[in-house]
Amino acid sequence: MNLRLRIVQLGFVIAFVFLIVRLFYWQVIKAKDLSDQARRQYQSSQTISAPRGKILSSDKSYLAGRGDGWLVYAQLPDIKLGVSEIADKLAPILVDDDEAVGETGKQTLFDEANRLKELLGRKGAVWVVLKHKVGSEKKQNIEALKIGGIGFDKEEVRNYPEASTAAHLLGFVGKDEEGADKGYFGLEGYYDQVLTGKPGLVLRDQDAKGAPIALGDQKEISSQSGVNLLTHVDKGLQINLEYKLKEGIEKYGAKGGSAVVMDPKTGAILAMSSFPSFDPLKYSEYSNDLFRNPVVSDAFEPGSIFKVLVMSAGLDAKAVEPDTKCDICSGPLKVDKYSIETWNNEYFPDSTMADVIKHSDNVGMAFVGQKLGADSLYDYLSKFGIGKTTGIDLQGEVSPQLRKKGTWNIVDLSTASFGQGVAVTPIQMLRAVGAIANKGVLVTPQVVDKLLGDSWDEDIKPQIGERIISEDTADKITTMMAEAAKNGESKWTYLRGFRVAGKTGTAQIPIAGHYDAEKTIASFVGFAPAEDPKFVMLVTIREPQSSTWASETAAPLWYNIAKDLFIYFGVQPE
Amino acid sequence: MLIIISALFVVITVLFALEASSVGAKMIILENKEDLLLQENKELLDKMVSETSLSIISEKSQEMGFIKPTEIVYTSKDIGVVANLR
Repeated sequence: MNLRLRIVQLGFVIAFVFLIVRLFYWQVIKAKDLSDQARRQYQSSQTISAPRGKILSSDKSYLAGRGDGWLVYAQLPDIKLGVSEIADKLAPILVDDDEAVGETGKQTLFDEANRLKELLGRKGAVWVVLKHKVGSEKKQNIEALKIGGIGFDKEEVRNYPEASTAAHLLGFVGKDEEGADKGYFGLEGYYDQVLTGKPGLVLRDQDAKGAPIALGDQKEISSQSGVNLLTHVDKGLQINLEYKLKEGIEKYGAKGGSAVVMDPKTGAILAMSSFPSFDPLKYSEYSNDLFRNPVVSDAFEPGSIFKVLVMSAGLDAKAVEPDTKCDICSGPLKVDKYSIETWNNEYFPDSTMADVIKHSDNVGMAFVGQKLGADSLYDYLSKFGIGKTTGIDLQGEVSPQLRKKGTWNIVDLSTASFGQGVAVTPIQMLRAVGAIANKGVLVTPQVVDKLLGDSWDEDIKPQIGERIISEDTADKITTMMAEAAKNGESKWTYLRGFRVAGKTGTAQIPIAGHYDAEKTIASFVGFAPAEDPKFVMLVTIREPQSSTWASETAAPLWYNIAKDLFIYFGVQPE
Repeated sequence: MLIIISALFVVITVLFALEASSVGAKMIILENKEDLLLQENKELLDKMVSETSLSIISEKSQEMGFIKPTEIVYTSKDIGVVANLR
């Protein structure tokens, strides 16, 4: 009897221990997992989207906005209709409107249907994306078809209301490795972190039907919208610049070109355009080569527009004066084994420095370079910002290196004096000439004027740099440039009455170790009105076919654009 | 007495629970309405942005016969009609 009682007692003890162990397992070891499982059943979590910041022009109209699009997906196990039938129904809706036209439109439609068939017929897949960023109208059309298994998720869409206008300036929004939106190139790339908002989260208890429980737990982490960018870009000027640049490139049969307009006193970029261009909304349809902004990312040999920088250096260092006579300008100049000639083989003995700029005389500039000396020229060019990035707020800026100080030989010095053997980006050149227009003081080019938050804004102040040349030197070189514009090789296109200070430049393109005379980059850089400039503008045209000379291509295009700028700035002829 | 108070307490608890659950349902309806209005607002804003695009306005104005000025005539402030306007 005693034994039986003990056995029963032992049984109870074992059962009790087992119960304790099991209880410990569920309550302590598995507690977190079970608690998480329970929370998932009664707690809902909802992400609050944070819209990307807008990019605004100076009048606060949109350059880049935001809207809603839809991700169209298929839940494959829920699909009841045949794959081909669904693909044929969806293809006409999902294909881009502008592609579904004419004979090529039929092919595009066929390709789209095949693409959908492939996606819908994917073996082993449960959930497939059929198309990103579909508009609300198309979503409604798809919903009206009532196809089971097709669903939608909301996603943000970037809008560029002016399409390809200012594409290089703006950049575009693509995806990163994790599929999240990310800005590339231009402002979208440079200000990506600022433009990107921080999504928020709402956690709350819900009942069996998914409705929130009023007395339950609720936690909310607010979202932060991306910051808006207010730029200096004037939309009217930008559109006109684009239109005229495109027209000019077509007229002169050029491969491409760029134009930039800047306020020389503040560095504010008022308009910037390059061709060929792309549509930021359909960036995936364009070659990667087109995304690079030539104004900040492409280097070129500046040719004669560089002469104004070298002459400024010569004047400021007192190596020459405007009335200094060039005593080697009567013919070609022999430097080492090379012969330096003028662009038209015309020579002007005893030219003054003003004549050298007016005639764009290579020999005269070699004279200035030799008077100045290589080290001094290097120092001035460095101060002008050549060989360094300008600090413009655009992604992708590069800077070609200036040959190291102390390594320049007489040939390097002579050729650099007329803009050969050195490389600059258009924005470096514009900034340097802008310093002349700004009475000798360098400024940093800036695209964005203000950062606009939800309840705050931050003014981005102009960055005024150091004085490069004296005001007196700036006045002297301005007078020379004004004379060159009025009576130089581009005088035929000069707008009478307007005081323009400018300089043409025709640079041959170096190919395989030599210069190709037929392939040139034609440029014109200038500012107006010369004494109190409202704008400085650089126009470059790559490989023009109608004429290789800047005086017949870039210069007339510059004046054609400037006509609009005179009206915009209220500049009256004298 | 205790039974009455207990019964009252039970009734109040049930009513309160019912009210709380209907508040949740109302919240969902209001949130859906808010989403819908926000969506409409965004769509209208999108439409406004695209309709006020300068490129589109420029195209439409050309279709309507507007042309860009091809020749600008500058007049002196001291002459004729300009002087009268000052």
